[in-house]
Amino acid sequence: MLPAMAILPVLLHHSEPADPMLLAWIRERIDAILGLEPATIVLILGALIVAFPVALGVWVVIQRRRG
Amino acid sequence: MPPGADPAAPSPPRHSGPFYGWYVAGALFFAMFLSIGMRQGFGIFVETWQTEFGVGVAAISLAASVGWFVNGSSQVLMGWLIDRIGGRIVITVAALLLGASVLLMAAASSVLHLIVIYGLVMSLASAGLAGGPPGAVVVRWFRRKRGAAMSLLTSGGSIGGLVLVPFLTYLFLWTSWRSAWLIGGGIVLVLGVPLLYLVLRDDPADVGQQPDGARTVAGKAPAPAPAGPLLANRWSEAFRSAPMWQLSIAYWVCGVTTASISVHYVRWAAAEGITPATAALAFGLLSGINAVGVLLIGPLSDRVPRKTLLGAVYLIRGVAFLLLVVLPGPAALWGFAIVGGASWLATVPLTTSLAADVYGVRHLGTLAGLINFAHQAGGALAVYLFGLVFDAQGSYDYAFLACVATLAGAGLVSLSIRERRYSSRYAPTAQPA
Repeated sequence: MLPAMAILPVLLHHSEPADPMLLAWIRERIDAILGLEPATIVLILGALIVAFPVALGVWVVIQRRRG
Repeated sequence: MPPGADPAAPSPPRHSGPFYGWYVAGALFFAMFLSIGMRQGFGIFVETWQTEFGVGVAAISLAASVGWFVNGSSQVLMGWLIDRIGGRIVITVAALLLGASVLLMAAASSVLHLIVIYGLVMSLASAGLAGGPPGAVVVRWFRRKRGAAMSLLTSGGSIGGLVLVPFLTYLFLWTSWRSAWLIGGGIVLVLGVPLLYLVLRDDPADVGQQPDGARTVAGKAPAPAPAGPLLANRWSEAFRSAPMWQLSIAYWVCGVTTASISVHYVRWAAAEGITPATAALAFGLLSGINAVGVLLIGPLSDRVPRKTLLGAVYLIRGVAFLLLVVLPGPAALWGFAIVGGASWLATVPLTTSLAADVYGVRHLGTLAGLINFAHQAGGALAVYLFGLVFDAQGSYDYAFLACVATLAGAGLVSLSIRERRYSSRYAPTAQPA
């Protein structure tokens, strides 16, 4: 079985909309493998999305104050 | 003090800690993450809009098609603006525009709204945040590790698809499609815009550093940037030399082969009798291999000639398309996922880095935008032609064989670039004054 992150979509080369049917297929696979509530997945992914820019921004500010 | 320097001029603020270029690359990684993730997220809501707006897929596809054209053509404009007024302003404003358009998507109530908000505004904003234009900023910060920095930047697009698309999908399932766009817009405006404004700087000199974080010797001027014989003083000069055409033609083929398979993937899988579960898993495998591949290819290209890797990537992708023709359905699918995944996004850091090595960074925004335009034009044409071939033949075999042939051509064209002659990487290092 593939890890969950590996079955998520990176559909096109740049940024065109993802194929709706493929997205539906992939969502079915994620649900079958993880079996989590949508809210749980949103909270996990949301934490990841917030963490990177906050960490980078704070780190840059700290480095500037030291400099 | 360097000769000729004004002793009264204020020195730029110095930055301590790790090389600041990596922060710039990190911020642009997040810009690409947001831009590509939000635009790909459009596909999640197609079925809902069909019901809610009472229209067919074709009508909604019109918004996507307009977006494709606007995004491809406006990368030239965004790149030119970056060359003229600097990346910090252009990219921050583009992020502001992206956030506003994502918020406005929540208020859409007709296909016309989708065309204007997604097709025009979001696609224009996205052109400043993904593809060539952010690369034009990053390459100013790196010479020796240019490929690695471009890989980091490009992986933002991969990871944006991996994280933001499912985030929006499950947000939609948990709440509503309007809430999903509203929260998406909030993420861009609250996290993306401030981060880009805070972190982005156009040039290492702005923070008292040199490209790659190279140290200066006290009392000596920094070493001048190495330049190849084709260093462009005007962007149009690049078109008088072979590498610009070689890179553009190869990237046109890249657009042909990636866009066609992406748009026709589901139809091909259905025609081959492949189950949705298998198709989804194989696409996931391709995505995973792609994410790893794009992170590895840039650092590798800092050690070996970039044209060699670029040529190899096109030839490997050609093999992947050949597998689609010679192997039976499921085996072809898995073979394509493994072999094709390794080459999917790898062309991006190689092409931009090589263009910067040959033509310099002064007009790279415009040049990268033009090369990307060739990519998008090839993609649009191929999607249409693939549909025609399938309707006429009932199979994609001839279209895939055409891809094999064009990829072989792109590989040979890339390998024929005279990198050692034209690239600044191989130019004799100028001595500081």
